[in-house]
Amino acid sequence: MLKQPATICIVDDDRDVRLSLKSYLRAAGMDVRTFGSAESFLKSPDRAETDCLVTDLHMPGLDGLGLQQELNRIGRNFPVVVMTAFPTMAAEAESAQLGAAAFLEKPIDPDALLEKVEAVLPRRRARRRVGPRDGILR
Amino acid sequence: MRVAPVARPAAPYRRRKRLILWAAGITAFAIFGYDLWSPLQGAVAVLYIIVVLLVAQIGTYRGVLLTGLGCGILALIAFATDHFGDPLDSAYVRFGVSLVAIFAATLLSLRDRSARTTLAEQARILELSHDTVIIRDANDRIVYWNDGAHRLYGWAGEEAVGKHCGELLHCEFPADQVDSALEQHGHWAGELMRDRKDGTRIVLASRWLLRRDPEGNAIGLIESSADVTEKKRADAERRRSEQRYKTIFNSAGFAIWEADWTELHGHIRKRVPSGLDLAGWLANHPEVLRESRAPVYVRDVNTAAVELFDATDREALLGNSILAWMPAGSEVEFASVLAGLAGGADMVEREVRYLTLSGRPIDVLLRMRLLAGGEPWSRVLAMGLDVTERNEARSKLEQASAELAHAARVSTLGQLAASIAHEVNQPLSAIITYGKSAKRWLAKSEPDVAEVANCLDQIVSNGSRAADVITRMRALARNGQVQVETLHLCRLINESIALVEREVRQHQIAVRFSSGGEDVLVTGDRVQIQQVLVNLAINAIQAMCDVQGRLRELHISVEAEADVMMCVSVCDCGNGISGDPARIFEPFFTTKREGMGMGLSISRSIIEAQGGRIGAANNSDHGATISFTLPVAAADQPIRKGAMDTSV
Repeated sequence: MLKQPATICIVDDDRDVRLSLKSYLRAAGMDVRTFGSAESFLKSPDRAETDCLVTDLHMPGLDGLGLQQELNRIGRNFPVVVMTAFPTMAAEAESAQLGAAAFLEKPIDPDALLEKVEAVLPRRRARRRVGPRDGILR
Repeated sequence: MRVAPVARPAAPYRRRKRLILWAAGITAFAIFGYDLWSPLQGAVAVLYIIVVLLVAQIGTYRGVLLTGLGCGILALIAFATDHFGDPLDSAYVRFGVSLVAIFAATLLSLRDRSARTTLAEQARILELSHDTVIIRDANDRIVYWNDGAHRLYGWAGEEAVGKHCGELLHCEFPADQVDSALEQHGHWAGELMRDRKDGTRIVLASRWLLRRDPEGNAIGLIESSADVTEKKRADAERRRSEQRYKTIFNSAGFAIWEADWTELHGHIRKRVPSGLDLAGWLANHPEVLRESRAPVYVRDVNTAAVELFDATDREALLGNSILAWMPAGSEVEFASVLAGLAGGADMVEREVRYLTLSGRPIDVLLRMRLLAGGEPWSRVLAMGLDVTERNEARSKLEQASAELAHAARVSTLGQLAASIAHEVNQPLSAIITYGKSAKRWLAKSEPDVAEVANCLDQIVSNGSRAADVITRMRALARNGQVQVETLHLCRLINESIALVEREVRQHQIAVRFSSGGEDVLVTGDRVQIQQVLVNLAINAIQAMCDVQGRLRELHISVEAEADVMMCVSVCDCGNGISGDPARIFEPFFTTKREGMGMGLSISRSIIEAQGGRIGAANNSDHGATISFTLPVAAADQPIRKGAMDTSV
């Protein structure tokens, strides 16, 4: 197991979705922070401590793709997992292009989500040892 | 042969006459004296012939006769004085011969005089003629030239007489034809060209007559000609004008025909009460045109008209053809055309609908006018512009905008379904997550009961949230202001097919609609039934997307079911429904990755709300058929019409 809990940030405009995921990932032993919008995540100091970002695609204001673009622009060093209730090929392709580590359909199977998150975390940690700035995972 | 001019100055003529009379008198007395007193024996009295001939030149008929008589008396006096009582001898013979000679000279002079008078009359007639008269001898030399010839050719008689006609006038004529005509018939008539004195070339209509001497030998020609240059030019211009008209008539891009309305006009004229104006009366009595069986006669049509009316050739439209009859229902238009033209309008324009020879209805913008020339109403020119396409395009545009408004309403179903999906998805997602989360909290070495309780609370509240969404949606579908009205079912189906045209094209689907003839009336909510039809059609199309190797056919059929219901079947040839076909109407049942499984559930709600039933079954060969029923409208219910009605 990990020496210290990984910090997972969840961005979703639906309160029930983000709180249920928070409950589940906490039960799985993770440190979870939730945000109701992309903007609030970007402003938050928690961003620097993020080990993995889980974001919805369709949100009022800045949406999931916009958030990914913004993160790429300012530089990020954590993997991104995308969720959506409207999984289109185009959205999936664009997310992959922007560097998303996983693309999940809603309703979310939390087991699958945990699996994805755990899958991307060790890779990131391994890289962090090599160098802190080679963040963008493709 | 030049005859003395008629209008001879009076004074010289009288002087000459006096001179001749004096000469004749002196000669007569000289002969008388010599005859009386001369000792010579001779027939001196014969010389009286000179006196008779002198007087014959100027004297009247009676004057000549009296002169002859007087000469005879003078001869008798002289003879009687010299020889009265003499025995019969040679003197008597000489006297007799002299008398006979005087008598003969008098008679001949009289005859010559009357012949000269006739000739002079004839010559005057020639002079009076406006036509040219030229007389030529056998060598083409001009021997007579009248004033008409002077006026026409510009050469005076003195200049022309004696000249060769051909050289003077540069004649151009069909020589062979003229020769043979003169030889065979003695005359020729035809056209020839000549130069005038001023050099202009003119065309003449000419008649030539062969002159013969008493033995019958040709001794020249008499010809009379008239200038037809202007007439020829006018004729040619008229022909060219007619040709231009024909060319325009035939090559015009729009239909033109010419008809004779004389009989129709006459017939209607008779119907108009006396004292009333045709135009005014006709405008109020258009039915006269329908009642009138008097034929209009079509004289001419152009090729565009032949094409417009689907005719095989011009003949099919000439005479008493369809163009001659007012198309049914256009009597008012034709009455106003007739009234307008009768009222003196230069041109009248109306739009009427004709049926072509092949039975195709066409809208024609008619422009009619009376042509000048001939009997009034005998030449009515009609120009027809085919505005069928324009009208169709206009009505299509109107229809399209109505359909667009309608389609927007139908598509709200899709938007509604999408928002429902999202709203249901979120609580479902939360429920699953809380459930699994609770299991994890319980599975810990030290189960966290408070967390588990929270998860269970959240599951309950999210479950309620999802149920609320479904309830709201079903209520909307079931009660959402259902407007029950009477509908043309087949028309509604055709409109629905039009709404999915894009999908049909995109997936190369063949659409077949069989209705078994007449449209039927059903009751229901127009928009909702159309939503069902569109939904079923889209499902069927999507079920056939991957079909290869057989025709992708969407077959919609309508048939009666137990008299009070109509059954609509939407049949595809996809892969059919796996499992129990009835399951597809359950909420959230879907076979599609993008689908939310609400379409058929909503469709069932709609159909059941209208008093119908919906069902699904797999076909025996390929695909599945979804059928629904709708109640047939009672006969006395008001009918709401199709696509143009935007109030639905």
